[in-house]
Amino acid sequence: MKQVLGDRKTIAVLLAPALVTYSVVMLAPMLWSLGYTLFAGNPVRGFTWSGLDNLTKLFTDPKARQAIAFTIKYALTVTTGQVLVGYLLALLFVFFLKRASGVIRTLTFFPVVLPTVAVSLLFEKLFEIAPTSGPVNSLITALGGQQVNWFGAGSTAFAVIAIMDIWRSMGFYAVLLYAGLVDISEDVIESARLDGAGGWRLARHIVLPMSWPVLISALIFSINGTLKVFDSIYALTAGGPGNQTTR
Amino acid sequence: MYKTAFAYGNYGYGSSIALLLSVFCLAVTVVIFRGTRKDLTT
Repeated sequence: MKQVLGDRKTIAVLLAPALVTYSVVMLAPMLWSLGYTLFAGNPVRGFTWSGLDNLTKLFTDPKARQAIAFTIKYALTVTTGQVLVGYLLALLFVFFLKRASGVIRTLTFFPVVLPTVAVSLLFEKLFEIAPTSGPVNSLITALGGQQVNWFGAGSTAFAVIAIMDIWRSMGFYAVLLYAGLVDISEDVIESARLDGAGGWRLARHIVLPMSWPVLISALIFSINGTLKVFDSIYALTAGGPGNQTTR
Repeated sequence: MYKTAFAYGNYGYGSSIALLLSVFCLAVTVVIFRGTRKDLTT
């Protein structure tokens, strides 16, 4: 193996297929897209040179500003929710359910494998007000409250989107963080317990610092995923009402 | 971004939004990595 990896030509031959594929599939379209920022138009109408107009417009267009603000708000809210709920679930699996966590882990992971559009349709039905009341509005009515038009205002539509995306991906982060938590040695936990640490102190001073690297990885996955989100919001609200959930 | 590029046919402006989003993702990742480098290496 040392002989093979010591030869530069062999390394180049082994890496070439992956590098060529990556360049053709990822780098070339990215650079192509970067070039488009300097032009106005599309392939049908044709392109005309516009210089930095598109970039300057981006910072002065109120619609773009609103979309950026919504994206940041969405990313912060959903990332916090996903990682926090995922971490709490992982703690539940490791310290409370232990070996009995298999079924619960499978159930919480299930939404991750569902198609986004199916989840969006499910939440649309759950929160709908017309033509028939969805289960959420029926529950509110049964408890004596007034029905809410969830998709009629930006704030409530945002709440539904956030709940949906946290529910959909909490299983993924729970499993990811679970892998980090099971790596913590039983001996360390046991010694901390013998030293009198328990409950919150054990979590704060032993479990949290030792699971920090995987928590950071989860945070990076989540923030990048939420900043790039498109499909779930488009399928649920199509950017509405108006432009209030456009990103 | 999708609507700008594919519904309104303005590829240039859509690409600008995509570029801003990519820069934002990169910046956030760099900030998180820089801020936690010590924790990840110790």
